[in-house]
Amino acid sequence: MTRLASGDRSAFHPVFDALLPVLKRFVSRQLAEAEADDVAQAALLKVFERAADFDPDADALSWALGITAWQVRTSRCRAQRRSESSLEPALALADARPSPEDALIFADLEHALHEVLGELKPLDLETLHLLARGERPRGPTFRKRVERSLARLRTAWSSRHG
Amino acid sequence: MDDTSLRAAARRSYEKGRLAAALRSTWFLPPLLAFSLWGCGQPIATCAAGAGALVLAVFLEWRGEAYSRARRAGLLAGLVPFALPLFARACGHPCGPGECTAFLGLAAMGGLVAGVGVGLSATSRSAAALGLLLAALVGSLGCALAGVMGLAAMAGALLVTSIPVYLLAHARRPA
Repeated sequence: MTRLASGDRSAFHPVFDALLPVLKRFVSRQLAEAEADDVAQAALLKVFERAADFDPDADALSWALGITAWQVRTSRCRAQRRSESSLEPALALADARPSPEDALIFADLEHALHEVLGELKPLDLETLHLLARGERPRGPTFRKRVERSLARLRTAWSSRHG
Repeated sequence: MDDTSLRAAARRSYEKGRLAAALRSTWFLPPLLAFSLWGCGQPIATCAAGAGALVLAVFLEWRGEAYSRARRAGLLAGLVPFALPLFARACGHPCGPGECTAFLGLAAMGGLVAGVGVGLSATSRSAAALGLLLAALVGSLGCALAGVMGLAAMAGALLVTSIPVYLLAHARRPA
């Protein structure tokens, strides 16, 4: 490792051959088999990237295992963040129907609306029914009738329910 | 990744890391360049020499081994011809750039000292040559003050001292 750090490229293959099995064994003791290989390879690449900074007075194996331990920790943090932030499993189990509270509120609103509609004139009711069904008779007067009917509905609703 | 791909990727990471470390190691060159621009008043020559010194220093450090040692020797040795004229200027010497024999003398003196330094520390001919070039480029950042003659005097002094010192040092080393 000292020779590699000083720029001796002939030391590359011996260091690679010595490190790879050691890092794989180290990582496989701490992570599941599925990701141990990937993490070991990423750690090996990191070790070589930082080889130029290796201090010749330090122990090469401890230094390499220190970098690998950091990669293991990073992998664990990433896995934990993935399991915390993903809502898809929860959404798949959620009930799409409205809750009992929502159903009660909807029923109350429907009842209140029927009360208010009962106070409107027949022409206004007919206009609002046509509007609700998406039917629009020809002529300029229908638009005016819709505006007046909605204004009377708002006034009746405000006087009853505030 | 299979073994071949992983080996290639590891080699690329290694070279990338060496290059990044080499770039970081030249942090002090920009301040030298700035000082030279202030002191010498020769922006084109200064920038050209500075760029050359930066590229060469990065290459030598990346290459490593004897080249890295030659880089260190070249940088240290080059500081002498760099500093002498600029120091004289900073102390209030009245001459302008290219006008003074005193600067010429200082440039030559700096080149002599730098040549001895590079000749003593180099361990291979190619590394020695590149270390010498680096010393000349760094020295020229200060010797630009002495004009073209000053640069020539520094370069000449570098060569005149470094070659015999290197040969003598190598003759004394055991085979």
